[in-house]
Amino acid sequence: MKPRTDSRKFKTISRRELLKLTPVLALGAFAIPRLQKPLLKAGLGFSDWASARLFRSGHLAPTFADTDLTPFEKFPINDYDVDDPGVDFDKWTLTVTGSVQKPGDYTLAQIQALPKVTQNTRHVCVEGWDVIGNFGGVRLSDFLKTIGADPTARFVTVECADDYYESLDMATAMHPQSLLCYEMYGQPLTREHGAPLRLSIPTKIGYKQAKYLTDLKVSHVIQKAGYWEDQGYSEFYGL
Amino acid sequence: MATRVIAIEDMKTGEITEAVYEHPFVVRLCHWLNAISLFVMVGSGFQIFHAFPSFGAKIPQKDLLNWPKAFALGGWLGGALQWHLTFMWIYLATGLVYVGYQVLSGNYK
Repeated sequence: MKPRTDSRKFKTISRRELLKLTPVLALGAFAIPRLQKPLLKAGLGFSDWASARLFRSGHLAPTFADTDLTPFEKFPINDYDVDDPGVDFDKWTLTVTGSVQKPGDYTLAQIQALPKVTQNTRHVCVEGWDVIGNFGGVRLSDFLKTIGADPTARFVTVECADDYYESLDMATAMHPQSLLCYEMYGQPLTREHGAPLRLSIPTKIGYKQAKYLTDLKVSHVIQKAGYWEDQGYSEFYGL
Repeated sequence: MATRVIAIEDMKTGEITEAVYEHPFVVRLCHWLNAISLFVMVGSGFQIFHAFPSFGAKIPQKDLLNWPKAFALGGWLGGALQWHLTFMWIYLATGLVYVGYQVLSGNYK
């Protein structure tokens, strides 16, 4: 049997079908298992990149009145393994390495000698809940100046007594509300809240608020972005 | 606004009918990309919602929204966020292109 459709008409119809399918085909790449992971990684990477571009150093996270505070007992304790990694406070120091003029071990007293800042800020978890807490400590930017951190470096990474690790982009680390925190609600940090020193970064999501800090490094390049980030969470996750 | 007329041939009878595209290609493209990304965002949104620990004692989460697992996308919170944050941009971009096209081309008239 001779085909009834002449080539001219066939051309029109096939193009019509193709045009209809174009968007489906483009997004269909996400359905291919081999392509899905790199595509989603690129998508999240783009999202992080855009978020970092939108970050404004002078723009402050909201602060709250004391009456808005979540009671201390109700401030959740979240860990990825243990509540108390058993830090020996007498021997504790913060080990500073990387692109800094003054690397070495810093005691809590040396850190506390810097100007103290207290603020009531919101702690937001990636799971969707949030609480308002009172945090006291020193500005991370002040500490970075003290250790002579290279201002052109791109990252500040921390390691913790429970083997947790995290990273901050330099713009966030230099933000005036980013704290090396040693007090919550006017009391020294309790062990389960990260004694003796934790991060309190109100412009970042909860999993960036690393506890029980032991090491701080200033870097131009990082291999690992953070415990959760390396499993697929956002590396920037600004609020 | 110029519309494109195409001929569709019935395979059995050979009868030719004329069909008209009511909407230009850009509009149809944006529509489908937007529609797909909306479904992706709803699916991954279910998964993200599922990560929320509880709405408190008054509303246990199990009573609030039980969607079939088949509609959830991403497998876990981290995976769902990747889908959500990726397609958020496609959703936004297609929306902006659509509105931009309508305004600049005068097609909305």
